[in-house]
Amino acid sequence: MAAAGPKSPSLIEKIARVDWLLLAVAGLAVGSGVVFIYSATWTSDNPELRDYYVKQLYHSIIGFGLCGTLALLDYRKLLRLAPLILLAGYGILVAVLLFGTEVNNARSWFEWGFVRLQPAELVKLALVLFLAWFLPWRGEKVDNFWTFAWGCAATGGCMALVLKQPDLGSAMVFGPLCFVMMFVAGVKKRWLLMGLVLGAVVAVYAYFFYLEPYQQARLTSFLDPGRDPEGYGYHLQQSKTAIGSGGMLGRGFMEGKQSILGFLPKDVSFSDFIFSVIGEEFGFLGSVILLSVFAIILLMGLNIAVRSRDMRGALVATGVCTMFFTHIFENIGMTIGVTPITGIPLPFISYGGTFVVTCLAGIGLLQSVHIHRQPR
Amino acid sequence: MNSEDRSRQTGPILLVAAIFMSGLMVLLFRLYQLQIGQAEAYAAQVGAQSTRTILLPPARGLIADRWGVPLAEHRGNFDIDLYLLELKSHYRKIHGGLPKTRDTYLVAGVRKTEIVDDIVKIADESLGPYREVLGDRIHIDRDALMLHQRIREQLPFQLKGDLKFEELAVLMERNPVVPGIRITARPLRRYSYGATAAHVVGYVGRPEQALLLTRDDGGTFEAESTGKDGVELASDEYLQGDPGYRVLEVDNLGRVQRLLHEDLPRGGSTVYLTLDLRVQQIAEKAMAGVGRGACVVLDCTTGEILAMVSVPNYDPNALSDPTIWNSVIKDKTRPLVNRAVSAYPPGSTFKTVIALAAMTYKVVPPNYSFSCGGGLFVADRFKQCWSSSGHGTVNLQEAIKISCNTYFYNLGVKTGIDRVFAVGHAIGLGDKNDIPLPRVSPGTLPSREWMRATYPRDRWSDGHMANAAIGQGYVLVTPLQMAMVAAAVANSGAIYKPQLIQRIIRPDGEAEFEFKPELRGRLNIDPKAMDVIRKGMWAVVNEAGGTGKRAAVPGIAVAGKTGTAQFKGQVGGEFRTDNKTWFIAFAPFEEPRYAACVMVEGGTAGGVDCAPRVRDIFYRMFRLIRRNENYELAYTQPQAGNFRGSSAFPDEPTAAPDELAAENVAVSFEGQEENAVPHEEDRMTLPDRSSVQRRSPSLRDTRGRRQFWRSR
Repeated sequence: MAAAGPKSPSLIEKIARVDWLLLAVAGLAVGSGVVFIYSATWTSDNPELRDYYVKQLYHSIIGFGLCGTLALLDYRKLLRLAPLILLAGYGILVAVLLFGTEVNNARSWFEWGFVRLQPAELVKLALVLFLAWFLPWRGEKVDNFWTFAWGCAATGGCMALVLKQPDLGSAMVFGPLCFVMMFVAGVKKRWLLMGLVLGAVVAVYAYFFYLEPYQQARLTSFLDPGRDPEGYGYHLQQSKTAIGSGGMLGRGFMEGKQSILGFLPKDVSFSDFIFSVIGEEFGFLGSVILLSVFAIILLMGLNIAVRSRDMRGALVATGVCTMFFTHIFENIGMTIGVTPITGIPLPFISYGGTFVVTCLAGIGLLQSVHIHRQPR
Repeated sequence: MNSEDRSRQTGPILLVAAIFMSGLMVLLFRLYQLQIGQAEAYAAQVGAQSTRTILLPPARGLIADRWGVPLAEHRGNFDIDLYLLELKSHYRKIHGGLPKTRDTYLVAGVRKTEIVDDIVKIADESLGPYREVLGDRIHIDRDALMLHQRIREQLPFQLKGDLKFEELAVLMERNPVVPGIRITARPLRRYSYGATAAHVVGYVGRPEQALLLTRDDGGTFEAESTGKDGVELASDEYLQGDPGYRVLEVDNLGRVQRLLHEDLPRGGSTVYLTLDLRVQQIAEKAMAGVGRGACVVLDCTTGEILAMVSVPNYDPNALSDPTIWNSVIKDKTRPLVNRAVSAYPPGSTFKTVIALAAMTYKVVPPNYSFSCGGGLFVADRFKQCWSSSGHGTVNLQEAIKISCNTYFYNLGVKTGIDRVFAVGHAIGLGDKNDIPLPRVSPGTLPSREWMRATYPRDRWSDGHMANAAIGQGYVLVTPLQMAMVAAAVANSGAIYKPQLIQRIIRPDGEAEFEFKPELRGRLNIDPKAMDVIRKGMWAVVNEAGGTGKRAAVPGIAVAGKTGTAQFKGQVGGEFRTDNKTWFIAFAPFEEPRYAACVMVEGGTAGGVDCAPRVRDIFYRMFRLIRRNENYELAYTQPQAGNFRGSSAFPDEPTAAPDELAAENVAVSFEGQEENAVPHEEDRMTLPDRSSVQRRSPSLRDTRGRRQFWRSR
């Protein structure tokens, strides 16, 4: 087996080994996202918003470009740069805190002319790459406490910087990412359990002493949306109303009343609450299809992890899948009252340039692991 | 390293996959709950928060006279409506923000203060261009506007009603476009001739209790106005129409996005009364100077009521003014009461009924005579005649002419209450006669049974009968019923049901009701006997010694009967003598066409207070008919009531209504039977038939005088 390994496949071979189905499904998801964004914005009073679907199209083209590049690049070569990439990630997170543009009281954006960048999204991938390099690098010492500690430190650093913006939703994604990757890498269960308990303690502490009251309200309104019907409870109530009223088949494309009439706030219905529009216009059937698409992406991604050449590949794939899943679960969950409302987008679908590029880059990484797997 | 490595990865990754899939299943389960389990509830909520249903009130049907002249119609009324949300968003665009103010109000007895948009200031400033035209007449009720903002901001606030037409014209010309301010037309009930036929037409007002109208979709609406009196009340179901509605889709700020559904209102039916407005106004003029009284004119060949007057009356247009309303309801002469269908003792006019009963049952022969010595002992009590010296021996014709009490005491007792009741009942006494008006009194036509039910300790006696025979005691009749008595004599016993509504026509032209003469009954009276009664009534007016000579119209033979019911009692809060004086009549005597009854409360005698008024009515009616004249209808002011009876009616000598028919002055009784066909020539018609046009409902101002049917 090892004998067949050393020779790297040619470019033609690589292209032949692309997982076309995964690419197609991802493409389908991004394409339908553009359509949903159109449906969510075509009645907006703001002409800029009405053009968002076109912008999303441009973003996804960039995303697919990056996806192709990453796919054809051997992830093992990329991982050698992982510490540097994470370091760059830290740098950019610090930079955004210093030089970022403040939008809605949060410094999450860079704005250079027509380019807008949300570094937190990119750093998610950077952390995946770092952990995928770091954990196997520890080798036999992977179940050593210090492996766990350093991993947590790297993750916690990201979380802290993103929380500082503040962007609670994105910050929360780093936790599961680190946890799952460590679990797959074979970090001792007791450390993981301890991490979980520690995380919970920190979360509770942070909730009471760190979060602003509006953030608290936002987090807890999902437990009792009626308590604050005009605030975040209102968002949730209207989102559930939109999705519930969709019924089995939905109201049809561009027919969502809640969305058209503005009961679903038009400033979030194309991004964080895009699923409410989908649920209203395409009903339960649409929800099932969308969840199936996500399930296919996740399962194919994890399959790539299982069939990868080495631990590093498995970790890259698992990490990317975890990032997807966390976003999917949290985003859809918040629109139907299963999880607290935090502003994080739905992978492939929600409007957001940096994030759609990040997601497609994630697909690129999956492809790279797939292409560079052990040949049969 | 590899194969071992792999086995180590696969397990955890599969576990991760299992966790991810379970997560998606959780979402799927929750989505199933929302989109399948609670779909209907959520869909209903979307409907509730995104639609507004607005009532489109139907145009109330018109009330017109028999020729289609509108008595009650709709007039365009223009209001300035403020749409608060639009006003605010416009204001915000211009000024960059909204002024705030403190709004203090009570919620369940608890004072609450809130900082809200200063809508009064916003409206005030926005109304600038309108103020240039309307000046100080724009007045914003601060409290009402604040309340409106608080509880129904998305609905228009009605700022000012009754915009004058000139003001509207100026506004239209300058066209000050301010978003959120709109001029809206609202129909208003308008009574074209003021107090004319006020008691018949009635008036409308806000329903005291919510009057729910059902829409086509099963929903209900509260009616904005409903009939309160007269035909407006009695025929409300025809006049009301069906409301329409509009379902609007609104966005999260309450702004109207589009029309989802519209069901236009269907206007109410037009009610054509049997009244002839010309006759009505003639009768009203004749009743001028009467403190309290009533008048009814019937077409005795059909039963159609041509005029129904009650004084004092009111102007239904003015009742919405609270001061006028209060003065009307506090007025002791009770202007709201329709005296034409209220019950009063008939006095001697009731002798006609006794005579009809006696002749119907052939109690005595038509030439029966009785001697009047100034009174008669009935049941051991002396009943006086009005002439204490007595009338000597009188026959029936003579007795009617001079209204001899003694004769009728005797005849009444001989006839007995059972027969009087039977005949009175046949004519329509003691009966509401299905008159489509509210609060119609049936009057009282006593009988033995009535006596048992009303006064269980008493029983009907000859004494009661003698009183009843001269229209005193328990007998109570309405002026309408007495007009029917006159009509019964005029028709030689044929009794037509009195009718007030000629036809009811839906907006689509379909008739909901159409008048047909209805024979109520026919008194089986020997023509010779009938003749005696008719001649008696003719003699009342036309022979020396008749009690109603002042009813005589030159050229037209009028027959009638006077009546004066003595009455002392509590009237208008004071004890006073308040005789009810009557005159009932029909004309022309040879081929009777019209019957009339005039009743004056507090009068001196029927021959004095009432007979000249009947003469005036007949004179003017026949002049109208025979000279084919125009009659100018006028907006009439309400007539105030008093307790003084009536002012003297000038007994002006009048020429015959139709000089060409002067030979008719010599009346011969003989030719009557061969010529029993109703006098077609005397049918009320319009002067120029070709000009009869149903007036279509119009919004134009009908205030003031109007010339009708100018003949070519």
